[in-house]
Amino acid sequence: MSDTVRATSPNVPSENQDAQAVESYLLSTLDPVGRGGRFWILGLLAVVAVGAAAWVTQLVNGLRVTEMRNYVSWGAYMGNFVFFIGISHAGTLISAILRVTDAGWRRPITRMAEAITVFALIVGAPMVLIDMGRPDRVMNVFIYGRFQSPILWDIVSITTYLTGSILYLYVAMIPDMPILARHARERGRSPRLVRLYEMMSLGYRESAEHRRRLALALGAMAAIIIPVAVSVHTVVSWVFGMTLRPGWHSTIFGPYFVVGAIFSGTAAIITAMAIFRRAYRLERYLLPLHFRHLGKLLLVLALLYAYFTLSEYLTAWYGGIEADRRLMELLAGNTAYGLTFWLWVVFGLFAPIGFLLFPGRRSIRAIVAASVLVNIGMWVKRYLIVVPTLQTPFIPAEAAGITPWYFPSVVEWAITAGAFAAFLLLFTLFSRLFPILSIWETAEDVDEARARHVRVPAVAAPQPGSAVRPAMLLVALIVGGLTLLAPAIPTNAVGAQEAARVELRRASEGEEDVLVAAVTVGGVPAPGVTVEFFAYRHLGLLALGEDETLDDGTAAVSFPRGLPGNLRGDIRFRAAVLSPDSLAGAAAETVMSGGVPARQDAGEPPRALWSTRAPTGLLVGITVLLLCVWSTYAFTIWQLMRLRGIKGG
Amino acid sequence: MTSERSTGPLPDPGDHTLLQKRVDRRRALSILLGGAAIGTSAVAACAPLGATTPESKEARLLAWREYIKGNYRTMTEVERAETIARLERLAELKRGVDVTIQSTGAQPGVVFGYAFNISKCQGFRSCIEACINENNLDRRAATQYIRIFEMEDGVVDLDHADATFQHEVPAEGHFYMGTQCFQCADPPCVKVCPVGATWQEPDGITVVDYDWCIGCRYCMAACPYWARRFNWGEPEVPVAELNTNQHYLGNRARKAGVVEKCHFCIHRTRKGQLPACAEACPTGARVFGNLLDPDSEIRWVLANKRVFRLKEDLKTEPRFWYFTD
Repeated sequence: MSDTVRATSPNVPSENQDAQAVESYLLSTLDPVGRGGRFWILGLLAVVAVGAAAWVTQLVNGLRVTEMRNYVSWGAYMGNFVFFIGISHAGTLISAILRVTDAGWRRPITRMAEAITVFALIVGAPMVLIDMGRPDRVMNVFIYGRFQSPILWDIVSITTYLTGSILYLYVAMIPDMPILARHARERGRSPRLVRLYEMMSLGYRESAEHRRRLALALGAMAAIIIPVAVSVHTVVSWVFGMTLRPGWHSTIFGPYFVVGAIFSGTAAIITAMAIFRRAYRLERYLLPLHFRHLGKLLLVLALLYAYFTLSEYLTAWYGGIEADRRLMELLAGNTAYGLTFWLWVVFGLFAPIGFLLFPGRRSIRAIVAASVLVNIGMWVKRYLIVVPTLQTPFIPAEAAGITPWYFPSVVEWAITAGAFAAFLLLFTLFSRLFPILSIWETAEDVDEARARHVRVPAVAAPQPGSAVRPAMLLVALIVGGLTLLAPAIPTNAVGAQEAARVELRRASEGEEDVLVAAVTVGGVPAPGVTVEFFAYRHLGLLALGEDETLDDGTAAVSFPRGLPGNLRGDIRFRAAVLSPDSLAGAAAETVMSGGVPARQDAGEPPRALWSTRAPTGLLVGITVLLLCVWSTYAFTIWQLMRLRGIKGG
Repeated sequence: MTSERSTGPLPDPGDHTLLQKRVDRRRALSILLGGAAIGTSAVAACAPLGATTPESKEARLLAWREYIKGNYRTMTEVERAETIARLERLAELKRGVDVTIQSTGAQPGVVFGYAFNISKCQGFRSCIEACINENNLDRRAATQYIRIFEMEDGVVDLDHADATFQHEVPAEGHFYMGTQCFQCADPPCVKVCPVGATWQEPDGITVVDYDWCIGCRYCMAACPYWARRFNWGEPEVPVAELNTNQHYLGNRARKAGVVEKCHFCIHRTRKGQLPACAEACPTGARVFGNLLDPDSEIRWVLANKRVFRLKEDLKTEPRFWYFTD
């Protein structure tokens, strides 16, 4: 950073700035890029192309090209996913919380923060798609989504978050649009660009009514986006937390992930601020004050994250349950993961804390260095959350003769690099189209007269009859009716040898029911023949006993009581001749009633987490939450739609 | 367009025109590069491109119809018969094998259970071999559903167990214990499936619809027993070794990118045969049966032997017990 900082005093916007000066200075960042800028964009495009090529390779050959295998079945892609969703929290925290609390110093950094959210989500969410074995079947999630699966919660909340953060970013950009349109026209830029700006301005003009509407929309979005953001990272953590795995199945995983997300998001903002400050010469607006404020926040979050980490792993290690102990040996012991973990603790946690506690004279440098370390460290930490746990299942890996080591393959690294390049590219292109500092908000900062016209209203009440379409209602839960077909078993006698013939029937002998086999040879009853009786079971035969035929050629055993039958209570019996050898093999089979009818379970299985139909409470909960959020979005859009109709100016 | 549906593999005119659209290689290539949505299936469908014999045409049509079918659980009986006819024909066209794919449903009054006698098992691993052959497991990735752990006498300690022993068995002072899918009554893998591609059948077998699975592998992460396997590449089974007695929810051909698992030989057990592992066991260590039948052998074992289940504290209620003589 060339420290020929123009600001004379670090805390006060210097020189004779007024709204006009702010506007023209910030608009100058949109001037055509120089040679360096072009190389930067081309370089990023090249990396994205490499990543895309790697993905095509993976689509053609299957996930075999990764290093993931049955043991470590999730790897770098899931790490990337958690990381990007994490830094997407930058926008929410800085922008929404500061807006809601009306912290004045937020103004030059809100847009950057909101843009990080949108682009991190756009790059991070498809990571799951890339990780899938059959990305072509992704529509199945919408056709037959099961709300018992945390993945569905993820999809719903990330979709909601992405929609909300795009809306939020856009609402805050509207007052800049007329300025941009005018500027583009003056500079003779392409008419299409002018039209884009004009279209996006939605007819916004500087008038009290316009400002009021916009403040209403912005306030509603700022308020709703905070719980949405918290829910998103909580749900991401639950994808891991809801399994029974050591290191994942933890009750603090939700808050642990949320804190980690805000931590890495704040660091991402500081890093982005430093880059844009230098690239676009924004020292005049991005003051040491901003770095220091965010630095303090980062310090608090670093300490909080350190506390959560200690709490999580110390508990697992001290308790020392078998699976936890195995994990802790791998994660923090004398292994490659252990080395990485402790390097992270030193350089990703303690070093930033040190930099932030004692920033020294050149505070911006120290704070930026801390942020970069945090960003790198948090990617490593996400990786360490995903991989070592998979390497320590309940049934130990080494025993199964599989080396459970995992290190991403070239393809995985290429896709990861491509994702980061895509993120930077989107950010760069965005900053070429729209000023990366909000003109109207920054102008507010310096123009006392216009300050404080954005009031934050209470949380918007849901609008009845608004066009709310929660994803929930789109996904029909199809209940599979499982029809148990009662097999109709025909009665057939198997007369084996021409000489002997067996007939099997049920008879009453006094009070007792008996199973009677009548053996005849050439039509004449055969005495002294041993007959064995069986009942057919699903797997094989159940012997009921044997008996010797009397003079009338009949043998009998008592009819079995309480034997399970089919749906109608029918049982197939078998009587077979055991001896003499000349007659052996003759047998008869008959289906008779008299068994206990099999229970035919109702076609619909119970509402349970493992069954087709989700528990009612779960569905109601998700529906209510979604209704609240999406009706706020609808309210915001409604406010925007009415901007054009406002008269006067 | 006639709406008449032929039961055989004859293409109807609508699909025919659709197919003739993609003929040249450049177009296919551009689809490949640009069409992330079409993805791997496009690759599979375009693989025999170039050859335009009636067979390859028919195979492509059948593959396309297979591609757009629904979840097995939501299919009607007619649809099930149709998809099975297509799959059987495809096996004939592509591999020249005559397979029979059943759709036998769960039998009323049957819930399967398994018991494993650790006093009897001698570590021959005949069960593993039988399972691989019976279930057409991927030979290239050496997939196996069953593992036999060798442990020192005294304590069940999987930490110090060995499943790769290469010596004469039974080894002195050791015992053997097999693991496979335990067909839990409260299966954590089924809980987490986002698309309903895996479920528990009424007879207690947890099955996978290979043509519906999206390959997210969440079930693998959720299973505490490591019972599930993923097809990281296209599975390979030599035609000569193919078991042609198949079940839709069991051992039929899998594709790359989907999860599979032990299904208690659903194609055998629903017809009253023992699973291949139990049948192959030369020691009688494996007891398989109907838990709802009070006279079954498994019920006798449960009633008369000291039994335990692996990681029972996880409360997934495995239907797989271990016992000693």
